[in-house]
Amino acid sequence: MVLRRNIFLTAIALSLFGIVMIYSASSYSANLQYGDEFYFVKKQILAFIVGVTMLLICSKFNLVILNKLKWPLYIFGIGLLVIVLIPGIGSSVYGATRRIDVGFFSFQPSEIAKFSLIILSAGIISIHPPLTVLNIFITMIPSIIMCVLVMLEPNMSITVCIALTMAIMTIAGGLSYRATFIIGLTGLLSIPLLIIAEPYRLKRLMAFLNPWDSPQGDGYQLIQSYFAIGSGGILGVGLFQSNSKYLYLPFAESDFIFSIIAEELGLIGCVITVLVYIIYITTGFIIAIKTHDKFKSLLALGITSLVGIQTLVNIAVVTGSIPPTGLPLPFISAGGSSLIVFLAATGILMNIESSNRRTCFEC
Amino acid sequence: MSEKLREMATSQYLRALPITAKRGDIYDRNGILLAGSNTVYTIYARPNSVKDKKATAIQLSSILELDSSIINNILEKNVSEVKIKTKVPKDKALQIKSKDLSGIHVVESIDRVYPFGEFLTQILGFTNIDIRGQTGIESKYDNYLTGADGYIYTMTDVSGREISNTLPLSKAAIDGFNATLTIDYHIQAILENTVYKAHQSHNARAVSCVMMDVESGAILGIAETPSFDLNDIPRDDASKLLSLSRSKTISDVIEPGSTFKILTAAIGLDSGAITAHTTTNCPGYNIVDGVKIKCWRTLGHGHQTFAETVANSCNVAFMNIASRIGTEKLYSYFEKMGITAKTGIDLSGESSGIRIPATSVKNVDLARIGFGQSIALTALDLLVSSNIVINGGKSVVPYVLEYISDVNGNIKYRNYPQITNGIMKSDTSKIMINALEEVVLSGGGKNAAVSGYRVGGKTGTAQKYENGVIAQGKYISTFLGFAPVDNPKIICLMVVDEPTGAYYGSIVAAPYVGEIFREVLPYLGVIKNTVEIDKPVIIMPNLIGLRQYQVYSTMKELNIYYEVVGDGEYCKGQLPVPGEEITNDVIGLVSF
Repeated sequence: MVLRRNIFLTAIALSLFGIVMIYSASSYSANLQYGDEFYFVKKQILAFIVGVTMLLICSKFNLVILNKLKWPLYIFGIGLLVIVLIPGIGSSVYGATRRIDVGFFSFQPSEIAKFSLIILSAGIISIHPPLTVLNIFITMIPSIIMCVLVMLEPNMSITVCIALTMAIMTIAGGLSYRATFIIGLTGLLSIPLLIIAEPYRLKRLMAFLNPWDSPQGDGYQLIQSYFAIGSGGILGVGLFQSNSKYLYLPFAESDFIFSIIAEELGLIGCVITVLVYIIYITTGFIIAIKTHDKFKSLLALGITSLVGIQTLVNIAVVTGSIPPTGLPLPFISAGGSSLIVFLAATGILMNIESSNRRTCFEC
Repeated sequence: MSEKLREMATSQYLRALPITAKRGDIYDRNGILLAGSNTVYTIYARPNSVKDKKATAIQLSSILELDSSIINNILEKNVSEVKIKTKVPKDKALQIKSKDLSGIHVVESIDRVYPFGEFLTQILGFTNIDIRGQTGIESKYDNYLTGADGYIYTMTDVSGREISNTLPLSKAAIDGFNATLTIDYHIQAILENTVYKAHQSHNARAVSCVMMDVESGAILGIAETPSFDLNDIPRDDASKLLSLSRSKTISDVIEPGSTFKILTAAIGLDSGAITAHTTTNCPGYNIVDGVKIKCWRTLGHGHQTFAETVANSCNVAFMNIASRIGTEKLYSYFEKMGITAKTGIDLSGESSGIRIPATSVKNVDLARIGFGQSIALTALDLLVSSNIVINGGKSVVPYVLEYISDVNGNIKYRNYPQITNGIMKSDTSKIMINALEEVVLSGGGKNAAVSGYRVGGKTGTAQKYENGVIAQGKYISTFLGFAPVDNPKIICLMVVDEPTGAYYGSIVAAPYVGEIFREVLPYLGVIKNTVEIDKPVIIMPNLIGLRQYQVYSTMKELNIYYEVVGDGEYCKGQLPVPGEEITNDVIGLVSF
């Protein structure tokens, strides 16, 4: 019961905190661009309502049915990823085609697809544990297909998140040390290849190593992020007092919202935010461990890992610890589809926790 | 790290508008303002913050009297900040301020004004568009005159739009220091007038006049023509501006001619090469190493005492004096007295003179240097070197800045007189002062005489050289004068470059120094110490048709000093004309 409450309250708290921070980060730019300082906030609130509804549905949903629906869901996800690549359907931003626009609302297929893959993989691994080479391939093929499609957008950061989540799930499913080592090494070796394939990645990498070399070019965003974090110091400049939001920091309300948190609420605000994430993730792992049903356990692990990895990568990017990539901060960043699926996934986590207790009552 | 980032971030978020610091004033020694600053206003726009560009342009155009389409074009520019108009007077600036137009800013700035316009132009100098000193005092003491600008900071977004809910911060400007010069406005005005008059009367290429305080080296005035109004600087023609704004007194090197004889004579006496009793015979020429060098009076001066050689300005006598001194001694005096060296005046652009290296001086050169040829120096150097001779042998370093003071009158910097004793013997000085008074009493300096005052001086007429050859008909006429003789207070050098018509220093330069002294000496409170006597009126005789020696004896009898033009046998023309009523203090002009 405590686990279920923890998961629920942290997810809701992060989402609401996100709405406040989105207002702060976007009111100025939204007013300039759309003439409405609540433009992004309204969209986020709508997504929050939909997301909470999804959370409630998912927390009651019979998970056996979900297991049965794993292939249709996966194919649906793959379908969306294919559709986004068809010229004229996906909308291009900064050289990448990542969104599908359906008139009143646009979403990122990869946000939905990555959860369909987690469900599928949890299903496969629970039936075919990765103990034989054949089983490993069966597990990996759907992941590889999805990664390739996401890379075609291109969206390297989501790919990395998916790959890492899959790795964790596979290892938890019983992968041997030897296989872990070999697959891990292959993965590491593929990174330089991916960088060579798209020169912009190398430039971004250089910009991350020394942003001051091109303060108006590739280093600009990171420098602005540093300015925000540095200005915030320990206590922050105060809620709504950010200067970076006056168009200095691009994507302040989405990928770089953590910089605004750091600027306005300082190190203390950052630490508290991270602590809430830690509670969520720890709770998620405890649920996964406590779950005896293999499918549900792996599903809980996958969802929790994805939230953890995405949070870690996002914070690492805005603090300049790894090369910049566009990845939203779960629950907080502006972005409807992201918030809805994370809330829905939270519902599934709660569902798993409830079903554990039901099973216990039965036994 | 955090502090540094915060600082960098803040400088990025803030846009600064300057508050120009008031530039210091420049005053004469009496506290009369020579260069000051007016507060004017600059109208800036931040185009991104201007809400209704058309309406704003129309409002501004009616106040600023500018075409509204021009203003509109400025407002349409895609820049964060742009100047609309500079030098806007206060009433218009206030009108704009009261309209409270979004994105339009009124900022105070400084306009340099020179109350007397074309006055002390080359010495005062001027400032550039940013009100930083470019020439003269404005440039030399720029660091003192310029204060530190202040700023008004406003928070803006990345494209320069102001963020409305923040309060502007500001940092006050620190005003510049004031400069007080050694220049005396009244004396300068007299010099300016006289120089202008001389320039007009003789249709000269250029005229300059400098006056110095004998004992301290403080420059009391420097006037030069051609010149220009400092409030209307001819910036369109760079080379013209350069030549007009350069002080010829300190940067142009001239061959001094007879004025230099003051120095030759003094060195001769001081080194013991001659005495006040040395006599010379002038046959009208001298032969040095087989070269015949003529005296200006080809007829010769005959036997002369030392005082007469100076009064007659006899070239032969000065060739002899130089030969007696010898190159080594002469050059050691040049060294001691700073002849052909820079004087060290506190102005930029001073030139040093030119002299033949001591080892290359032939006897012919030595003879020529004796009467002021084959050597060149700046007018200021000639003045300062001659000053040693009449100042009891003490040298001074000339200066134009008296002191720098802050707004409250506290002295921040001061120039003190730099006097070196014993450059020459005081006896030498006494003999020279008397000899130079004689020049004004009975020689070529007569025109510089001032009734009631004892004035000394020396004329000079030098032929100009162009590309190493004598330029026919081009002369530099000079007169160096000082007063009063019993205790010299002021020394003055007048240089008339390329006068047309008459060119003798006695006629072209000396009268103006006389005019200057006539006004300056009473102004300085020098008490008249000679009795004014009415000179007897004489009738100018007819000289036409007389032979040279006949003219000489006639004029000597009447005690009239005269200059000679041409070298014919018989007199062809004369001034004053026959029958004119004159006194013997006129200077005659006789052509042969």
